[in-house]
Amino acid sequence: MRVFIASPLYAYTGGRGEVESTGATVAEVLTDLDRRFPGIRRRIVDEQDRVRQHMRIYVGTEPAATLDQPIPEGQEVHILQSLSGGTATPRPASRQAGPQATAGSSFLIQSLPVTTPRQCRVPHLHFIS
Amino acid sequence: MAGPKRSKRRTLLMIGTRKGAFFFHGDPARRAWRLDGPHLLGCIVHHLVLDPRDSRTMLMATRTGHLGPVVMRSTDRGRTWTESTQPPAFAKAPEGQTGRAVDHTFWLSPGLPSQPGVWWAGTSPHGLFRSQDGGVTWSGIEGFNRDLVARIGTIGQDTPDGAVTHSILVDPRDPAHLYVGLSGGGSFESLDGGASWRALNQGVAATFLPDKDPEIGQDPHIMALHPLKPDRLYQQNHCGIYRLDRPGDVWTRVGMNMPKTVGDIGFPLVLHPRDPDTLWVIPMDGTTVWPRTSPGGKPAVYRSRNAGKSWERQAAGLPTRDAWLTIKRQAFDDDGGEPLGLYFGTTSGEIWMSTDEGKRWRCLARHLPEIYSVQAASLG
Repeated sequence: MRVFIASPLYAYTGGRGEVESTGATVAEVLTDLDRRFPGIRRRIVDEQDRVRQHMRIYVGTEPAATLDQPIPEGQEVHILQSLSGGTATPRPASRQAGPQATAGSSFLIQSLPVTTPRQCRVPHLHFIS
Repeated sequence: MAGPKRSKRRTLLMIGTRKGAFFFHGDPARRAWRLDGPHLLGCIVHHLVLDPRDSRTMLMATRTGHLGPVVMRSTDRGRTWTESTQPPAFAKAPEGQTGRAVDHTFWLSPGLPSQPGVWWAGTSPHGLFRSQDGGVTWSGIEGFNRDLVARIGTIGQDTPDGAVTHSILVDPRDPAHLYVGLSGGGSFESLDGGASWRALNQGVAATFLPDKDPEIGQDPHIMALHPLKPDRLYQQNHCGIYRLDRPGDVWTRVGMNMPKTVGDIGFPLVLHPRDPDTLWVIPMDGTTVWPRTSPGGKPAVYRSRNAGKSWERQAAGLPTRDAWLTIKRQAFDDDGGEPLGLYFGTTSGEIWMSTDEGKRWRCLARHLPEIYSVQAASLG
């Protein structure tokens, strides 16, 4: 399957934002990714197997609820990070689940929506405060 | 940092910032400096430490705003970096229980010369870890991470930047004799390499707690042990500056001898490596909502040459007004030179230095990112 990788993890993937992986669940994909790119898993998931606070994993266009979530045949996986620090280009308010963002605005990380794969086809588009 | 006379020795400054690491290479006179960096631009560098046992290995405690924490390691004095294969991490909790996760490694301490490869790490939330292979892999100290943390409970767990374990001090006479400082927890001592711990907080105020004289719960900001007199400890605490001479167990608040208009609240503290009676602090405004800035907007370093009995203001060269500097606990260090060089970094990205033991200060750099740590080393 194709796995889209957020740019802060490019140091592990040799600069690639899209890699191949295998696994029937999110957990298996993360294990496989860590085998191919040693160290990448712990940047995404903590030692208690919780997805880190500001990271998100999507199966297709849906957020993965747990690491046990199965991955249907042919589905993509997106490893994303929460946005913070405002947006450079305002997104239509109707497509946002949280507070409306305007250019240059700042929000607490916790109050921001995660940009889903459909909203942002480039999963590594993010702004770090 | 202990070191022989300067003469031809060069000085290396290692700067950890919220946006990466920077090095300053100084000539033997400490007049001309060359900037090298940024390294790992964008990464939060909480602590950057050179191993004094080989003067080549460096460890860096880092994370990004989103990604989990790691320890980076260099064996060529910061030119190249590789990631620890097993960074500090708590034990996995049994099924059905909520386990703790390391948010970031906050503090790094090298072991004694008799223990090559040994390093200690303190984390947020409170955690103590040990490496035996130069920082490649780390193991938790369960006597601390399980037992001591349970004793401390929730005190200090919800501070804005998280509770931090810091000031991991190893008695140069005995590698099993450890001291450690816990923000919102207190100072503790172990005689068995970390397996068990006893509180060492007598005499230290805790004005922020209902019980003003508790066994635990004090808030040391930084603690230091003198290398030539290991029974002499100092600490800059949330509630003042203290000294402890072992085998005594009761700290003395030597900060009471500071000018009342300045007070004795601050974060960093530096000991003179050749004189156990000489130390420096940088006071900050710890009133009301705790601005943590230079009192009155007039930054100054204070020196004592008699173990805290009296203090003298050293502010020549520093801004005389309208300078609201904040200096974090790891952002003040000496270079071991003769005369001793002193360096501190500010959260506003400035580095200030003195080559005459604080008599005169000058600004070495501006416009760096928020500075988290400064370490100076004298290199042959």
